[in-house]
Amino acid sequence: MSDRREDLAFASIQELAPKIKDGAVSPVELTQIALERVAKLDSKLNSFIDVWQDEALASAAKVEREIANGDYKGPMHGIPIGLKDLVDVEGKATTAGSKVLQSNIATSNATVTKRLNHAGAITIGKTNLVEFALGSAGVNPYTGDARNPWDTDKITGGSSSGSGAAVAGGLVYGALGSDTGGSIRMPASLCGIAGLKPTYGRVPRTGVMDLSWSKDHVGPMTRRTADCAHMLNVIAGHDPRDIASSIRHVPDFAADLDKGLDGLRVGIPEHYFFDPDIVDPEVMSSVNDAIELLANNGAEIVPIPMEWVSQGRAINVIISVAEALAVHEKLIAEHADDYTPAVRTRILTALALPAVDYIRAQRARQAFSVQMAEATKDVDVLATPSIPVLAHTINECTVAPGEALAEKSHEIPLFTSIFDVTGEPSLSVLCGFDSTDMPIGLMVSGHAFDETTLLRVGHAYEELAGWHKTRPPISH
Amino acid sequence: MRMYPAITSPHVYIRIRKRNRSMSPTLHSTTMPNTKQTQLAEYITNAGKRLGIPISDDHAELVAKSSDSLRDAIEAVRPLEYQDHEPCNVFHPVVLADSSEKGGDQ
Repeated sequence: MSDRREDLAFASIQELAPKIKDGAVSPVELTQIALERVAKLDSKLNSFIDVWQDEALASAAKVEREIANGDYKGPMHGIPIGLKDLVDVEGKATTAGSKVLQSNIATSNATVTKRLNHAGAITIGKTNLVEFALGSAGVNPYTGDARNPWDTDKITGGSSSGSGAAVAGGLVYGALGSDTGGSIRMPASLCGIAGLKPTYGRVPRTGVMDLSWSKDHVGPMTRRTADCAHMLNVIAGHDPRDIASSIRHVPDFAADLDKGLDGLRVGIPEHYFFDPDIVDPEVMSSVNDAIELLANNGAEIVPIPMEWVSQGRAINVIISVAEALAVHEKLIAEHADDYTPAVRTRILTALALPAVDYIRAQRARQAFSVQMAEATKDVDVLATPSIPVLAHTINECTVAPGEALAEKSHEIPLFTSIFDVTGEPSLSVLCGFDSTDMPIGLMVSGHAFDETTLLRVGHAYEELAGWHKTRPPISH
Repeated sequence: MRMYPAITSPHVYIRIRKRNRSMSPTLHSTTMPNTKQTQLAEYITNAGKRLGIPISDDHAELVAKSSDSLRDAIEAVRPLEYQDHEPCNVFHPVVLADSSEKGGDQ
C-alpha cells in the first residue's frame, strides 16, 4: 500500500470530513482502502466476522453521488465503519460471536444502524467480539481471538475486541462497541484508540443484543476523540422503543472540542484508582504524566477522597451475572452445548446468586451513584487509568475446557466497571506506551449527560500529547 | 435531590482483593474449602434444574470453582450499611444527576 493510501487509512474522520465534502477525497477510495486492509491484515487481526465487499462499494458509490450532488449530510458521510456483531443489520446475521446465534438473521436494523446509514456512513461489515459480550480479555474460541495490532500475541481487551483491533489497525475509521463493565474502554485502552461509553440512556439499544439491561451502553470507538464526538452526534437521541432511552436534548458533542483546558477542574481520586497494590507502575507513570500535562495547560487538579469507590466493582459483578443469566435463561437451557465453555460457566455462576443479593446490589448501586455525584460535584471530570494492568498475552487469558475462569481477566475491568454502575459517561484515550510498546489508556469520566466536557478534555489532551501519531507495527 | 447516607463499610473489596504482586499473579486471595465448594455445586445443580438448565455434576463443580469473583462481590456488598427502609427504586437504580443539578432523567 502506498504511503498516500496508508496516510488516508490512518486519517481521522475530523480530517477527512471537509475533504470528502469538497470532493478532494473519495468515499469509494476510502472504502477500497478499508477493504484492501481487511484483505491484507485481517488474517492476522481477526477483527471482522463478516465483510460485505460488494454492498460496501455500492454504498460508497451511492454516497459519493449524493455528495457530488450537494447533499452532504455531515462528518460521517462517506466514512467506512464496522459494527460490533451484536448490532442488527437487516438481512445479516447477528451472531453475538456465538454458535448459538449463527443463523440469527436480523429482520430489521438496530436504531444505531439506521442512524449511521441515514448519516451516510458506509458499514463494511461486522466486527468480532467476545461471545455474547461476556468477557474482558477479548478472547473467543468460537470466532477466533481478535489480535492486538500493537502485538498480535497480546489481547485486544473485550468485549468489543474486533472493533478495537479494526480501528487501531487502520481497517476502518470508527466502529460501534458496547460497554457493560468496560467493553468499549478496555479494548480502546489496550489497542491505543479513543472509546466513549456515553451516559446510560444517551444512545438507544434497540436492535442490540442484551447482556445486562440496567447497565448496557452503546458507543463509538475511533482513533481520535474528536471522531467519537462525530459518531455520537449521529447515534445519540431518544428512541421510544428503548425504555431506558433518554429524552434529554442532544447537544452538538463536537461544539467544545477546541475550547482547551482553561478553567476546567480535573478530579483525581485519592483511593483505589491510584492504589499501588492494584495499578502497575508503568500505567501509574503514564497516567501521572498525562495528568501533569493537563495541569500544565490550564486544568486545575483537585484531589478527591473516595474511600468507598472500590465497592462499585463488586456491585457491577453481581448485577452483571444476575442479568446475564436472565437474558440467557432460555437460550442456555436449549443450547447449552453450543456456548463456549468459559462463557457458559461465567453465565451459570449466577445460579449461585440469591435474589436478595441482586436486590442488595441494585440498592447499593443507587446509594453509590448518589455518592459519586456528590463527591464529584465540584469538578468537571475525573482522570484515572483506564486499566490497572499491562496487556496480557492471549495465552494467559485463554481458558482450557474444564478449567476455572482465567484469573488475569478479572483485573482488567476494575476501573471501567465503576462507571457502568453509575451510568456516567467515560472516555478512554491513548496516553503512552509501556516498556514493550503496548498502549496505555487514560480514562476521563464525567457528569451524566455531559459527554461534551469529556470529549473536550480528551481532544485537548490528544492535541497536547500527540500519541495518536504513532501507528502500530502491523499497519504497513 | 434527596441525599442518601454514605456507604460506610471501609475498603471491604480492596481488603479481599489485595495481593502481594510478587507472590501471586491473581487478585484472589481466598480459596473455597472443598466441602463448601461441593455444597455450592449441589446448590448450583438444583438451581439449574429449577430453571430447566442442564448442568452435569462435573460442570457444577467447575461453576462453583469459578464463582470466586461473585462470592467476593457478594461478601463486599452484604455488609454495606444503609438506613433501614431507605427508599430505593431497585428496578431503575441508575441515578443520573448532572452537574447542573437538574436531577434524574427519566
